[in-house]
Amino acid sequence: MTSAAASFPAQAEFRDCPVTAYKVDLRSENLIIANAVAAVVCLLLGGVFALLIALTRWQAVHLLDPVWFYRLVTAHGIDMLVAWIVFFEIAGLYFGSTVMLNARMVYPKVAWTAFALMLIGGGLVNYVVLIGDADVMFTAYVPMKAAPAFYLSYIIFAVGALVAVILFFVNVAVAKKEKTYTGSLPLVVFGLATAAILAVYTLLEGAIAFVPAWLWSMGEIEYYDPAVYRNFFWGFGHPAQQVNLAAMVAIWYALGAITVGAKPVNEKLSRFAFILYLFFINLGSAHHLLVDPAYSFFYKFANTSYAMYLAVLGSLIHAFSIPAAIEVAQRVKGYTRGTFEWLRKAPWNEPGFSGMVISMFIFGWIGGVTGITIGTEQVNLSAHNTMRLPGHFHATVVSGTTLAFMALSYYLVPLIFRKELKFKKVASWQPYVFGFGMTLTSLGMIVSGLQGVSRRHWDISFANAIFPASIPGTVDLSLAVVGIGAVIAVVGGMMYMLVILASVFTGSRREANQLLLVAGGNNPLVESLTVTYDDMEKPHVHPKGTFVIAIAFLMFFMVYYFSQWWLLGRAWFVE
Amino acid sequence: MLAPPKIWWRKLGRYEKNWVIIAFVWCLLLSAMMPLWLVFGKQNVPVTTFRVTTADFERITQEFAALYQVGEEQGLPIVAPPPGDVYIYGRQWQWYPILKLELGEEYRVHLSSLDVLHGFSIQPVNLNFMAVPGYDYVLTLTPTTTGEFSIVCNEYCYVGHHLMVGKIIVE
Amino acid sequence: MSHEEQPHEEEEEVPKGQFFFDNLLWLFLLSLFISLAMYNAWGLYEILRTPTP
Repeated sequence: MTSAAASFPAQAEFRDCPVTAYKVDLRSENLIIANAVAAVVCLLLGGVFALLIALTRWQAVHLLDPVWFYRLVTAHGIDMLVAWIVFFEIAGLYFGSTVMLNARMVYPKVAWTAFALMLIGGGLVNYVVLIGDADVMFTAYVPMKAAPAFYLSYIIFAVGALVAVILFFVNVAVAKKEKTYTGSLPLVVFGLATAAILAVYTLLEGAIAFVPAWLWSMGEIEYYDPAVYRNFFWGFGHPAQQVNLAAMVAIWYALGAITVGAKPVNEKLSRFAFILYLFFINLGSAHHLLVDPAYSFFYKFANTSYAMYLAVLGSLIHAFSIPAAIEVAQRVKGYTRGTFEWLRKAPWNEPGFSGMVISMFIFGWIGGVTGITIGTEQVNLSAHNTMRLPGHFHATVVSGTTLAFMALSYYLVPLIFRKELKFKKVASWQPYVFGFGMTLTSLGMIVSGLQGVSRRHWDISFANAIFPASIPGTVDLSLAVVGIGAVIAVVGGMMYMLVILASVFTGSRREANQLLLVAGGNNPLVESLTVTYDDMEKPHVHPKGTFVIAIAFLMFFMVYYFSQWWLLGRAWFVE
Repeated sequence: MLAPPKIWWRKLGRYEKNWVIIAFVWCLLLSAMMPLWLVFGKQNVPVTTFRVTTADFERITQEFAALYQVGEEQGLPIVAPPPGDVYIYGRQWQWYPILKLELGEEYRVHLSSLDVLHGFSIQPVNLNFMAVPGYDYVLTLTPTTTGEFSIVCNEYCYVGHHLMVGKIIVE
Repeated sequence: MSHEEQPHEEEEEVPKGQFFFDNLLWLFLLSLFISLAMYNAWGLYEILRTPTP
């Protein structure tokens, strides 16, 4: 331990970032680049699958045959929900634990090993699925059996990810010891630490679910109780998305700071909201078990409500405090007229800003509202396994998390890859195109689900089945909206790929000379340093506009929430 | 850069405080809805569950179907039981048997699966339950509308998943 | 180890709440305990006590 400080200059080689004034460990920088590139490749792969899947569910197109449809839904789930997001999160965790703390990557070799494990696991699982050895969906519910290599590759990937997450904590601890930062962690890093803590639980549960499944698929274990598997699988599958949530919220705070110089209005409140996530959000795993046998009312109630909706309180706090931070920063700059001048005069052409706002809006107004509603114990009776589910999580994980990650990555190109961003006009439009497409997709899915359409289903018209199903013909329309939205979103995804890949692979290396990409030469991060709490507490700076938006959000939430109880009340009686 | 001040443990501003109170009240209301609906609502999640082997459940269901069979469609028995215990199972890729129920009568529908997980989705009523092998899930069900209803399997159950559909007739 | 310890003057000024919020280990352990106890242990208990008729 004592040797760590002594060997510090010999091991790490730093450069000074001219824009952010961070000291960047070059070994950490390479690891961030490797993980981010792997993430983008997974996103590309998953995006191709997404298009093919959506064009199959669009009944008029109905592109793939059933075997390939189910196979690609399996691969799409793994590449998007796990590979793309976890690779990017590891890049984010390394960024937060080294660059943002002016600290070094303590064990770069271990980090490369973790990266290799994740690559091997991710590559292998794609191979096993695509050759047809694991048509079992992302969820792989026991007792539906896949080839042992399927479970093994999941486990390899998870071990790699777990090692990387542990390295985050090691980096933070060593940075504190070596005093590269003093006092508390910056809020963004604290948010990433929240994600990392949630990730440890997630990966632990993944191991508990998959190691016995692996042994069972090889015949080493006779019987694996499907209900027990479901409990552990969702202890992995749902918290994995909570990791995304925490990382995404941290990135929202970061993007607010980068694009308009937003400072948290109250650090205590924002950190409290992250702590509510830490303590209660993993209970939401029970959302998947609400119409399962064996559990009591009270178990489902206590868990699905995150113990009295305390994790939701965390999200509602962020939903206020992030826009409030942006509003206050804008008002300090003098945009104080009326309730919304600060919003009108915001840099809407800056992809980091528009990406953040669109991500927050779709995440909250569509993803959050529908998620809490269908996660209500009884309302879930009319939602479980319908397309309302993918409708909800495409609003959260795709429009929310993915768009936030995309928006941030535009800044990583000049600052970390040290390449000038190409096609800036395309980057300016990209969040709008992607957000619009995903909104259509999510809404199409939700409306289809309300009419009874199942998720993960090749042909809801049951053309070849023994009976016709009593699903109304109007679902053809809402499923077409899903397909059209997906095509638009894929165009948005291609715009993103074009900008990132062209910049990274064809641009020449140069130091960044400014922070904002299109909205001007000023540096909001530096400007925000001069803003004091006294400035932020003057009456004309108060976040009045945010309060109005928040109340409007709550009204919308209430209308949707209670309308679903009303719908449920018309169904057959059941208890 | 982005570093917090040394002491950031500060009181909330007026707007933040008001919002936290409003949000917390909303969370309490959200929590209250589930127990309230449990007491006053007519659609609640069934809890009664028994352990059962798939072989036993198959036998019980077939005996039940033979006892109350009134017809046949597509090789599946149409079964019209009196109000009380009713059995139905899912397997790749059918629901067995076809149920014929009476409007407004209460049935204890025993639901299970003989192989993998299946989703028991009554359409267009849009009520959904999980059928898990090894577990006998008892749904106390009262049909309140008449007509022919489908049971769509909405849990992926391997490549014939989209062929799996059953029927409930309510008269 | 011991002679390396720094004076704790700075930390003593920090309010208790802030000190608690900064302590990642404590947060980690509580987070893990709540999730494992309320979601997993309680859930498994309910699955395992499912009766045979």
